Amino acid sequence: MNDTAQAPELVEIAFDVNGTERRLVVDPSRSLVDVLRRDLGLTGAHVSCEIGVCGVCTVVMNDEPVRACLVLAVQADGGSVRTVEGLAQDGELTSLQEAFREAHGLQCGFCTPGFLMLLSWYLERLDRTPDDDEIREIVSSNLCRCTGYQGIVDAVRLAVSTRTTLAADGSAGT
Amino acid sequence: MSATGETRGVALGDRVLRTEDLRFLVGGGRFVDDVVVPDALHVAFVRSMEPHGDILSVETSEAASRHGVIGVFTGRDLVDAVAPLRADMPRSDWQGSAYHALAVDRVRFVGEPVAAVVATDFRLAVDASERVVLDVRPLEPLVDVERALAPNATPLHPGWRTNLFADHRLENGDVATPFASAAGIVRLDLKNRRQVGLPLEPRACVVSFEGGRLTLWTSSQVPQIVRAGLVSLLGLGEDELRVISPDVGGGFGVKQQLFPEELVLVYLARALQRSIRWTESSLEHLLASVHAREQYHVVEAAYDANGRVTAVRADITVDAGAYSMFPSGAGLDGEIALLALPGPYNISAVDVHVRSVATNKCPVGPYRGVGRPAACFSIERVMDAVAAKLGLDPLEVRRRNVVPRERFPYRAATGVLYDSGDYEAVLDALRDAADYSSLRESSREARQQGRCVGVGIACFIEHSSFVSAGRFADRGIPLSFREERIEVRIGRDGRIEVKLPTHNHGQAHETTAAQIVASVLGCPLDVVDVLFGDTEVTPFGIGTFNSRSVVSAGSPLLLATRRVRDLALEAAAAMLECDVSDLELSAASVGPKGVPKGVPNRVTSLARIATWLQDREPDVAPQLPRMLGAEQLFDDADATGTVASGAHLAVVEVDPRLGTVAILRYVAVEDCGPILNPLVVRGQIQGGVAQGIGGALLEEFVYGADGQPLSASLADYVIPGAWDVPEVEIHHVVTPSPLTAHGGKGMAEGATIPVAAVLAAAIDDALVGYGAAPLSEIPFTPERVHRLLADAVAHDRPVGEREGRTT
Repeated sequence: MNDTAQAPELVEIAFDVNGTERRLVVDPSRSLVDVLRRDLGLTGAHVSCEIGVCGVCTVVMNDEPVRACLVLAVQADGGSVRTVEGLAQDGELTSLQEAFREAHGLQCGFCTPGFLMLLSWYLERLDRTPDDDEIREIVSSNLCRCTGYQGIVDAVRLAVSTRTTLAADGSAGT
Repeated sequence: MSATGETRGVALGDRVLRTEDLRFLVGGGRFVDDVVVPDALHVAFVRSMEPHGDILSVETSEAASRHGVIGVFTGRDLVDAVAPLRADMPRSDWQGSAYHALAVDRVRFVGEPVAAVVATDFRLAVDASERVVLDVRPLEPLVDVERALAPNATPLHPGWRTNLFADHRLENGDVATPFASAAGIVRLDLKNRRQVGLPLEPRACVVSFEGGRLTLWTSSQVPQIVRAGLVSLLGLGEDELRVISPDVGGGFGVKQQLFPEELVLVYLARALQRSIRWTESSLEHLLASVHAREQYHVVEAAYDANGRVTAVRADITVDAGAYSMFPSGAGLDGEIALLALPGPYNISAVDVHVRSVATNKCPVGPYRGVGRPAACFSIERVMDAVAAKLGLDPLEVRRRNVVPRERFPYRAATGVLYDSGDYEAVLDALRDAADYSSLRESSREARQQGRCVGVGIACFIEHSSFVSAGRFADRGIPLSFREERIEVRIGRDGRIEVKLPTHNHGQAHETTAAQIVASVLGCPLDVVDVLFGDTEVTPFGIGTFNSRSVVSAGSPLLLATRRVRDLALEAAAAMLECDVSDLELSAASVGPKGVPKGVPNRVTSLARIATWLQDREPDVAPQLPRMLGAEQLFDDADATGTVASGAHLAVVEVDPRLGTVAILRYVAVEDCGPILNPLVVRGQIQGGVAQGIGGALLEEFVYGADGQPLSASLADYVIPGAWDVPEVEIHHVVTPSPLTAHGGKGMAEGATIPVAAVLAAAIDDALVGYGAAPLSEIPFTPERVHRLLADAVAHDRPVGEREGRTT
């Protein structure tokens, strides 16, 4: 063997994934999305453009949406990561997931997890009713090749109004 | 829910939420790259960096000695075991190409696969692939059709006379007389630049090798055709290979090919007796999947004093790239453009010459619309030019030219049968929906105030669903069947299994199939299991493309389900020992007519009927079958094709300093017959317009004069984002097709077809005050729009000095 390649030094990392502490030993050159998909079996986050343009790999890391193709897994060490698999609780869809279905915000479903993570993060922080331009602005962060975006924009608007209705009813819990 | 609170089955035409959404929304979609097989090896491809040249050597020893590498394979290693991809047209003008799984002797475009590196880990494979040294003696890159057709050009393929895959002419009707007696003649030189369909999910293959049996998971619209091709080219028995196309992240025509990489993966799994996988990079997709759209049209149209177009001549040149893709073939894009050229217009004389040229670029394949967007652009530019020459309104010119409603079914000069339609009603609906005349007026006023606002319209038709298994077989595609099969069967547990010959990759087939079944049987949607995309389960099909599924699967499914209903009634009559005419089926149960639901022991569920049929003694009702099910075939005779139609309107504003185009309003009228699920139809229109907008304003795959690709990432090849696509206002006209059981027509590509023509007309209108030449080159990027203005200014007056000069 004329093998000049050195086996990489592996690194132990630990982070919270959808509320569960996970410990892993990884090659430090691996991306977060690769580790989520291959090592943790969380295949909801996808990979397409690999340069941070399309957003199909979007997850929420340390309470910020990130392009998981551009983040190294070791950067999540000690932090938290939320993926599409953690949205629905006990099989119950979130109001945003319901709204995506109601408004036909998905067709092939490949970009959907990225949009759901981006927009869930957005809605959680929202303290007022956004206008259509603001919704379109956040939706424009990611790419979709099927829907022409209107269903996604409509879904966000619907999720906002559902939330507002719930809050007005006093039944929103928190 | 009905008024009584009883669950009723959904009807055709209801807005039904999609059943497949439930898995995608929770990250439960299963795409090829999500498939796990144990101990799989990984493949990285070495690709040509030369556009054209002779392979002198492929040096693999250093790569082969790298850590984790199992082997490195070249074209020479595979050539005896793997036949090349060919897709030929049975015509005397045709010259075929052989697309090897890995290049042998010669490379013909940048990105062509040359070697495959197999390693235990994907990154080790990629690292090692960079150590493969490819030595190529360059030949002149034939990067455009002019150079490829030059008399001294090197023939791209062995034995070729000229660099033409196809050279075909269709002449019908008397063309000369209308030209001789015309009130005027329009002559246009139109360019459609190269684009990429670009589904967001990359191409991907996983092959499992277990117990000598191969299973390929591949991201494909046509798994049965992929299997047929693989089995034939690798010399396998049909039972040796199962092909599964699971969830597919968009197709748009790109994924209706058998690709060289699929051949390599299956060959390697078999040769190494190991499971193996590959997912392409975005770079690989952009360089070496398939490209689309590149066509050059020179169009001449004769018109009379009333603005009626009486004859059309066209010279269409398609830049088809290096190879003829299997199964669509390098002639497809041009052939469809030829057939689509007259569009919705009653033009009785056509003379169309189509040449499909081989060049040193990525092979061209179908992409949503397939040749129709270019044809539509040509004929709609003709209509706009006639309107301008005669000072007529563009909508009025179209009204004078469309096929009159009393002419249906209509046989066009191209030979295409238009089964149904009412193009005058479509134009009326567009006029009313857009409030057309006041829209024209308000945009004129805006221009007088110095804004560059304009209105454009275009019509289109979508001839779809005309491809059949038999016709593929006649073209040499090695299918073992000539008919597609649609099956529906009710199990003992009452679950209803539907098997489709088509493939769902975003078009809601699972929902629509369940809806069709539920509309007949009155069952809930969630008892219907819709199966497709697995050659072990649904072998007799050719997949989804050509907007065919609603016709080639939906209509037969409706017929089959009706037969199941009739069978259930007959069986229930035998069970209950009564007359079938006394029974009725509703809410998935059979009972006596007129008996209120809920009366015990009087109604019989479909599950009980299915069980009774299976368990009954042989002498009981011997005329009935064992299974509560039916199948329906779809064959050549069924595939005459439906013709959907529509008209779109856009209002745009151009920024003359930047050349950018903002779409202020977009209106679409469509006629796909009775709509099965308005949710899905609206989604296809909104998404189709979005792709049309990308094609019209943003997307261009550029090669340098040296044959090197310059648009090789999503940062350089720009697809529309949320700000680029307005909400489409959608309106409907309904003329049922006489050819389908539900009256519906294929429509999923339609909304993409006219968008460039619509936007060209709107931009021209917006810039009318500048005296700019009409747009003739797609896409209308800011650079092109700006240059058009600059050219006008150079001959006229400075940009910015606007007088609201309008016609």
